[in-house]
Amino acid sequence: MKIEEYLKELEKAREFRRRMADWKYIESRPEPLKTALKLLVETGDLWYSATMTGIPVDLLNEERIKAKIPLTVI
Amino acid sequence: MELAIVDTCFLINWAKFRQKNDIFNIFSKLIIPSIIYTEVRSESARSFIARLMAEKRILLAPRISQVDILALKIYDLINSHPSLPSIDPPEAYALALAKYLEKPLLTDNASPRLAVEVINEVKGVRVYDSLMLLAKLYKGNLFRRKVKEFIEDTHIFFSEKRLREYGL
Repeated sequence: MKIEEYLKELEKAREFRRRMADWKYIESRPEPLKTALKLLVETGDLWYSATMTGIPVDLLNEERIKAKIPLTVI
Repeated sequence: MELAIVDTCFLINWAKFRQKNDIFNIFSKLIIPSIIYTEVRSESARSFIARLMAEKRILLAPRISQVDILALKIYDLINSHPSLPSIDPPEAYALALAKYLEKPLLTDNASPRLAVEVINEVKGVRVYDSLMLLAKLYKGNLFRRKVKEFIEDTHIFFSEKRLREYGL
């Protein structure tokens, strides 16, 4: 895949995450989980979102599934 | 069968897949860099890894200074590239270890897959994501079914473009 194509797919994946996320659930979570989930919706980067907020990667992944945030392999 | 290096997110996702052990139909053992293992904290992922360690199907790779140096270089080259998606430090280490040991890297992040095409330091490293592995493991209708199950179990999706490449 060319890098230009990748960037286009990346934007599609971001829109998909925004659309599919359970925002009610996200808003109901305590900090720093709420921020981590919002960051994950925007970036799609689990490691970055976890590290920036001090949450273990796999625990954030569990929360991601509950918040219905899809991650897309491009 | 050969060995493969795995990154954190890939391992966490595969730990949730109902047929996670099928991965050993392709690779005899998986190598986790110790820098990555410390990131895994949940009971489900740790118990999956611990069981495989007891069966000697997962190996922990120690931190190696030569790999650290290469990882830092890869981290810098990829993150300063104008078009490549960014790479995080543990993943840069996993890619560097794959290069150093001449083993494939298993990751669902696109950064290493694109980097091996444009960054000379990592050219030639084989990078496989979950869809590639599912395609290696299953054929025909079984492949279609397993992709669906993988999505259900992990909540990891594949882009339409990638699915089309595999006739899905």
